[in-house]
Amino acid sequence: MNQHTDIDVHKLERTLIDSYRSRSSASDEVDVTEQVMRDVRRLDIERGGWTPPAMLDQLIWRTATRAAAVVLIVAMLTVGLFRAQSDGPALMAEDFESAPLFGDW
Amino acid sequence: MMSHLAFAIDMQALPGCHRSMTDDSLPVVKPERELLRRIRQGEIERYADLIDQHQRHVTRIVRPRVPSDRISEVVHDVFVRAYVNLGQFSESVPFDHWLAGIAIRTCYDFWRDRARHAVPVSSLTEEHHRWIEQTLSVQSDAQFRRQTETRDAAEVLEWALQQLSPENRAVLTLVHLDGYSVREAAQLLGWTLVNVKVRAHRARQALRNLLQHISFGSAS
Repeated sequence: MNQHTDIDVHKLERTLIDSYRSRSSASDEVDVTEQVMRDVRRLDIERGGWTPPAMLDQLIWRTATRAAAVVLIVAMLTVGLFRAQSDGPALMAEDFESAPLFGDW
Repeated sequence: MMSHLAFAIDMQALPGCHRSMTDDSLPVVKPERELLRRIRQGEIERYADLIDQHQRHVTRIVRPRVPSDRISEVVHDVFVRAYVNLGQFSESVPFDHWLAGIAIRTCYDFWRDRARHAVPVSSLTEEHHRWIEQTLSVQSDAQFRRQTETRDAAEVLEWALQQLSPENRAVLTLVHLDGYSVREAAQLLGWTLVNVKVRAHRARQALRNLLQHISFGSAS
């Protein structure tokens, strides 16, 4: 019974697949050029007549990566410089603290 | 019994299964590249030439995938979508192959949109059940060919595909009906290989369950 059902399913499946393939090879023409061009012109006007060039994506990403690297380096240098500068007053404070105050005499 | 077994052929092994997604009728590549360059530089009227060159190719992909009254609409959407994404075309693949991917995904979106708006699916009629009975009792190749050519065959297949999810439908159509490899289907859909492999198996199983159900229903 099961084998019989399997054969039936195969048979139906095969018929439907062949039907699909014969439909795919049919050749009725479709002409959408006019409609597409109308929409393309409208899109172009909306975008201000500018079409993004092919390499724009790559250019943006490369620039962004390099800019991020530069920002990181500048930030590290700034922090380093700030630390070096802030070390000066700290040392002065140590000098003051080591000097005896009036009340200590 | 032998004639029954003659139909039990794995469809992957059938000759002529694979449909090319590149258009072999397009001999020139260099002028096309030039055409693309000019369109990108702002000569949008040249896009009409590109549409003329690829319209048949796109229609051939779209026709079996959407209802016949929606073919023009979907082909139109494919070309508008291609224009919008023209900046992303890297020229590392042939243009018609890139366009085929857009066509496949536009058809998939068409069914996804329909599923979202809960468009009611058609049901099988008495004629369809009669066609199923006749198909199951077919004994010769000539009878088999006649059965495939009827409108009922296309309608029963459409009914079965409508029962599947848009994802399963897209994968089943590419892998089992068009005969593409899982890798090619994954490239065209822009999905992962594993996703397509799993879906292809599940979708085929779902189709077989449906066919089993209707063949049993028609027999009883």
